[in-house]
Amino acid sequence: MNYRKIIHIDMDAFYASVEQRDNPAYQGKPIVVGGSPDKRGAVAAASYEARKYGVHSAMPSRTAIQKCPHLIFVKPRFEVYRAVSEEIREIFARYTDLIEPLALDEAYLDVTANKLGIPSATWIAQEIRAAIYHETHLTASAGISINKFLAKVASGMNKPNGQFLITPAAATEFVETLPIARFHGIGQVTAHKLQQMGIFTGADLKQWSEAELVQRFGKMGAHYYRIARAEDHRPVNPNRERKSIGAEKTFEVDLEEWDALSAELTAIAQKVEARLAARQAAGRTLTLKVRYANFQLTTRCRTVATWLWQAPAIAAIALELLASIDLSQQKVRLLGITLSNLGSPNSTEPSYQQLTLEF
Amino acid sequence: MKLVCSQSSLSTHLSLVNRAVSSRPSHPVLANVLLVADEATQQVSLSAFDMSLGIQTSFPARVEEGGKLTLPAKLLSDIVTRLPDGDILLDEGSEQETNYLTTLTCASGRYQVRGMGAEEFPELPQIEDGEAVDLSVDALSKGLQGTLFAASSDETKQVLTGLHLIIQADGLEFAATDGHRLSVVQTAEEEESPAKKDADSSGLSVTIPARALQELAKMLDRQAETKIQVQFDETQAVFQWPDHRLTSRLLDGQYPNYQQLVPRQFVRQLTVERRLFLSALERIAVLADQKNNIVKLSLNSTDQELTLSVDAQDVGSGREVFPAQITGEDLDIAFNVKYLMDGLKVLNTAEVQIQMNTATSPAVMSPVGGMKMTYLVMPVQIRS
Repeated sequence: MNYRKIIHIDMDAFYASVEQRDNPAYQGKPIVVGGSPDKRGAVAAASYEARKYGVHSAMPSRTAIQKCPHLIFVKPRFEVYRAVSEEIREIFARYTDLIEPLALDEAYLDVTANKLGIPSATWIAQEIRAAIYHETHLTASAGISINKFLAKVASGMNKPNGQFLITPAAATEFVETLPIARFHGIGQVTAHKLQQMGIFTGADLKQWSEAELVQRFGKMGAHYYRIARAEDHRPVNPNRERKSIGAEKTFEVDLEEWDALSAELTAIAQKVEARLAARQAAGRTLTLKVRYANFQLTTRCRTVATWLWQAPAIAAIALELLASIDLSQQKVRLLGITLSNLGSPNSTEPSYQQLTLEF
Repeated sequence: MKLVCSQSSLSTHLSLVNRAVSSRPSHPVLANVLLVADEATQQVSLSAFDMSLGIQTSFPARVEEGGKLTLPAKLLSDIVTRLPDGDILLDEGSEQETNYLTTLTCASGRYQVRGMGAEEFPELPQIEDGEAVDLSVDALSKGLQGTLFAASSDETKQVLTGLHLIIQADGLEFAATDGHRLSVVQTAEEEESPAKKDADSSGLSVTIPARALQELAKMLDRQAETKIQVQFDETQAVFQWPDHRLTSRLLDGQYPNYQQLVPRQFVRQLTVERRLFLSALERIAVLADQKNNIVKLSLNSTDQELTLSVDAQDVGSGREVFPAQITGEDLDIAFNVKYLMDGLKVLNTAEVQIQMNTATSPAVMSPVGGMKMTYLVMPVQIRS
């Protein structure tokens, strides 16, 4: 059987590492890149020193400073991150053209038939990481395996500055022993639900038929069925372009109070900001998704003249849309915010900014 | 409580007070409407209160037994609007036995609705010794209509969700802004108006939630009085006229000093026929809606022409040219098309004037003759 050779490269604490590299004062210190705590911003990236305090990306900056009072906040310099990201992509391109960037700091590579004819994907990963370190003074981690799902899980195994191989022979056993929460693509709530069904590892998941999983989880159920068998046929797609970026949250307990709903929505907006930042994107259409306790779904959307990429602006519109929905009849099970009509706020396309009155 | 009233008056008055029923009641009784029947005056009054906005109306009925009761507002009004024309008998029965199970009897049948006691229903705010001013309904309606649309609907913007009202001896000033545009209307009181006597010379200023005033504007539309009384204290505003009362909490916080935002001098001026401009914008808006709502105005003083254009990338584009009186140098300036249309809809003169300085400074729209209104709109800046 011919297996594919897929590498997932993931830069270590990318934005934070770039800042530490460029500013010696930040080296060895807990820093985060992102909005400052007084402006309701979110953490886009945290250095490993900051992670020791429990600070992680997509966390509200205010929470981060509580966890680590001497935390240093650094304003993001996306133009620099994008430039570094391009340097790294050029390194990848020495080996293959099948590169699927997931974000500025993350990509899948299909090196099955690579330009240099190197038979071992492990060697290629080794060389790529060495070249990244040599040329950018930044470290990366790599996961090597036979499909995207396994490669992605593998890159997290020896982080930072390490790599991990899951061979075809080891794949089945690896997935069987993998705790359900570590499956990429299974979020907290799904993991919780699976655990309630008695599913704690890949082996447990494997006991369920595809029909049963589809019945419980919809389309994703089929994906869970396959990844439990270490199967993932998705190709590395170099032309993948995202049409929308968003985040949503299913609540452990259905919510009805306005204060609780607006707090959740604000947190979701911060997550969206972090995800937009990771792709250097901004959107002009915001869609609010509300799923009621009875699973009925309502959406509201609004298109604005200005680029949306900052959490406060996203939250303000989302809250305005939420206020327009009748929430008196049903409790809320899920809230989500998606931005579409994507673009880059500093691209060459004209940008529009609605000017405001200076009170 | 036992009374007979016509289906049409009960239905009409329920729909009025329903606007003040909370959609997220903090207490179950606030989802109800309070009915008070008075045997002596043969009147029934309905009240609803969401702790911010309160509405009370009364109408004549044949009251056989007075009393107080609250009934679920939505349910009651959904039933009553569907009942046939004619008399309705509303009977609470004996309180102890029925536990507020109220019977509605009409020609077509009988309905029973479970209510709640009136004791827990909060009283609508009363103002003991605030200032009372009589306002002309005409001036009030004009002022509200000319400004309410510019208030912010974003609940997080607090004071901007309100309308700022200044009562001075010589008239009223209304202002509303959402941070992108500002509308100010001034109305003059006729000589010897009570307002002149009551308001002190410094004037009285309050910020009232726009939502309450939208309801007030609707209610004023449907009644024949020429004057209504308004009273304020630190926290509340109460508007009343025969058989009607509307109370609203006031918004705290400093209202922006908006007068300083209106430029004193302009280097460009445009005068256009309002209908022509509005209908062109409505067509432009079809495409602008698809993308970012932006319309570009190009002023050409040599040809005395105004060009409107829209470029909705990947969707389509449009362009209209029409005559206008233009002074000052040529200029390209962009706006949110909705903001322009909002202003043009309420300005009721044949021609409007737009004054501008640059493509990134405020533009001011005002009527030529007619009411005194200043509508300031911030442009959209285009960077390429």
